[in-house]
Amino acid sequence: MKLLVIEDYDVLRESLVEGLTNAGYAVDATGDGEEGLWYARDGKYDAVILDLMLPSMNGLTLLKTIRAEKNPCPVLILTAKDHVEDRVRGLNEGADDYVLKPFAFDELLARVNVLVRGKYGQRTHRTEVGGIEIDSTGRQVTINGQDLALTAREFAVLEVLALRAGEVVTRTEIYDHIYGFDSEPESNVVDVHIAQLRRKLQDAGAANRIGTRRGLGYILLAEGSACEA
Amino acid sequence: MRSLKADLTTAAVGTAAVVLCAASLALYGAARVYLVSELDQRVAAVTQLVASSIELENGRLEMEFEGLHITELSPVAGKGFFEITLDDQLLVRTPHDAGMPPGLDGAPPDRACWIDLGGGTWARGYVRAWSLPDATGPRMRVSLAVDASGPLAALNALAVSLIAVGTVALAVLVLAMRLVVARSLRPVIALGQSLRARETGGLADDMDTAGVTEELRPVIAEVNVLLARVRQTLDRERAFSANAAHELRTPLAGLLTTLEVAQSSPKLHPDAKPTLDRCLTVSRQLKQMVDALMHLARLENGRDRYLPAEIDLADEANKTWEQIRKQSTDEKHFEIRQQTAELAPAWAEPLLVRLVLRNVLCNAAHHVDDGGWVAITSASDPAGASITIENTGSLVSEDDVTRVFEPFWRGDAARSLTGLNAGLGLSLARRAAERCGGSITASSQAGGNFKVVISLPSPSGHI
Repeated sequence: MKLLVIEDYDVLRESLVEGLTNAGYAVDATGDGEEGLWYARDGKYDAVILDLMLPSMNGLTLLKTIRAEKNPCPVLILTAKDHVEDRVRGLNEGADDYVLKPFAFDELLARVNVLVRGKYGQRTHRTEVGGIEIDSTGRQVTINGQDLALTAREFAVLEVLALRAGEVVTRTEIYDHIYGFDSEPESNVVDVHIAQLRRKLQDAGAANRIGTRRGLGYILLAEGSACEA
Repeated sequence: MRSLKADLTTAAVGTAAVVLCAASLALYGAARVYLVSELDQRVAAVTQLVASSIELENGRLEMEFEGLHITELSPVAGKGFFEITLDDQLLVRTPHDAGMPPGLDGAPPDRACWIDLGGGTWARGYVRAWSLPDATGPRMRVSLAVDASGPLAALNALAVSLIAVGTVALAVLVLAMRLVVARSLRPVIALGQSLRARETGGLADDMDTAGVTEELRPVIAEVNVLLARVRQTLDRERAFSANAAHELRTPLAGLLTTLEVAQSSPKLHPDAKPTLDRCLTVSRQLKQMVDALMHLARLENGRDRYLPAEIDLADEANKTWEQIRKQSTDEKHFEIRQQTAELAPAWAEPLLVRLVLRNVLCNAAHHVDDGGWVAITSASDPAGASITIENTGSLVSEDDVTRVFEPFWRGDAARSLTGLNAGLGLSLARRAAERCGGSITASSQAGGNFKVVISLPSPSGHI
C-alpha cells in the first residue's frame, strides 16, 4: 500500500514516514504544496496525509484541485486548526478524515488503515481469500490457522492481491504499491517477490493460488489452479 | 470608615440647626424689644400723666389724681411702686409701707430701667424730676415701677415654644436629610454594585449612562475607558494563550510522532525504551496541557455553538465520578459521601457539564488526603440545580481561594508539576459553567476542607 505525506514540518514528516514505513506502507513525502500536487496527480496512492498550512500552495487548494480533477484518492487532513468551521470546510472540500495536531500516532495509523481499506471496499482489517487470512493491522498471514512468515515486501504484495482478489493486478500497480517514488529497485523485483510468495504459500499448503495473466499481471485465486494462461 | 451618607447628613443638619437657632434668637430678640418698649411707653406715659397733674397754684401744691384711672398705681404689694417727693420730702408712696426699690432711687430721669422688686419680680422703672414752676422753684420727683411679669412670662413662653419647635424641626430634618441623602447616593451605590457584578466576568459591555445623575456621568465614562482597557488586555492575553497553544501543536505533533514511532520501531534498543517511555509521558502531558489551553481559549472567545439540553446534574455527577474511579491509579484510601439520590434537573450543554464535573471531581480526588473524604451533594430549587463537591486535605488558604480559577494557579506548585495538574482544570470548569449560564464558586473551610459549588439554570422556560 502506498501513501503520500504532504507536511512541511520536517521532524513530523520524517517521523510519519518512518512510522508508516514500519507499519508496512510504501511512503512518498514532501513538504511543499505544489510538489505535493505533482506527486498526488502522478502517483497511485492508497491515501494522502495532507497538512493545511503549506508553502507555495495550501492544503485546501491542493485538495480542491485534485478533487476537481476527479482524483478519488482518500485524503486525511492533518492540521493544528481546530475550529469546527475549519473541519467542516476541509470535509466539504472532499477530505475523507480529519486529525488534529498533536495526535497519537496509533490513532493516525488506524485512521489511515480505515481509509485504505475503504478504498478497496473492506470494512475490517481482516481479508480472507480461500483460506488465506490477511490481518492488515497486525501484518499477519494465516493459512488454515497456521501463521505464515513473510517479509514486509512479500506481505505488501500479497495484501494488494488479496484486497483486489479475483482481479488482475498489473506488475506496475504492484510495484507502485510497494515502493516509494524515490526507490530504485531492480526491474524484475515484482517477479522475484511473487516467486518467493508462491513458494511460501506452497510450503504452507496453499499451492497455485497466485495465477499469472501473461502480459497483464497477477491474480489471487480463491482456489488453487494450475492454469497459467 | 468614613461614610458619605453620614458626612452629608451631618453637614446638612448642622447648617439647618445653625439657621434655626439664629432665626429663633432673632425672633425672640424682636419679641423682647417689642414687648419691653411697649411697657416702657406705658410707664413713661403714666409718669408724664402724673407729673402733668401736679401744679403749683398760689404757692400751694395741687394734685389732681382723680379720674386718672391709673391701674399701675393700685396698691398691690410686690406688683409695682409709686412715689412722689417734693424737695426730697415724701408726698405719696404706694404701697405706703414699702421702701424705695433698689435701683429706682438713683435711676437717671426720663429713662426706663429694670428694677428688682424682690421675690423674682422684675419691673420697669421710670423717674420724672422737674422744678415748680421754674428752675428756682421746689423740686418735684415722680418715681414709678411697673411690674413686668406679664411680658416676661410671654417671652419665656415664646422661648420654650421656640426650643420645642426647633427640636422637633431638627429631628424631622435629620430624618428627611437621611432620606434625601440616601436617595441622592443611590446611583453611587448602584454604580458600586454594577462594578462588583462585573468582577465575576461581566466585562463584555460598557456601563450604561442612562438615568445616571450628571455628577456620575464623568465617573462612568472613565470607568468605561478603564473597562475597555481591561478588555483589550484580556483579549490580548487570551489571543496570546490561544496563539501559543496553536503554535505549539505542530512541534508537539512532531515530537509525539517521533517518540511513538521510535517506541514501536523493531530496531529500538531495549535499553533506550525506559527513557523513551518517560519522554513520551512528558510529551503526552504537554499535549493535554495544550489541549486544555486551546479548549479554554475556545470557551473564552465563545465562538463555538452552544447546544443546551435538559440534564440531571446529580446523575451526571455520579457517572463522571464512576469514570474517574475506574480510571484512577491512585493508591489513596478515602471515604466517599454521595448525597445525589434526588433529581437535579438543569439546562446546559451536556459535554460542557461533563467537562466541569470531570475537572472539579478530578481535583477533589487528587487533593483529598489519605484517610479523608470527598462529599458530593446535589440540590435543586425552582431557579436551578447545584452540586457541591467538598474534600478534606486542602492546602488552599482562605486568602488564595479566589485564585483557584486563575489559569496556571496551583495550590501545591512544588508538589505536582504535571500536565494534568497544570492549574488549568478549574479555569476550564469556570469558563464552561459560565458558558452554560451557571456559576462555580470555591471556598476553603476551616480544618482544610475545600468546597466547590456548581450552579446551573433550571430547564423550566426552555422546554
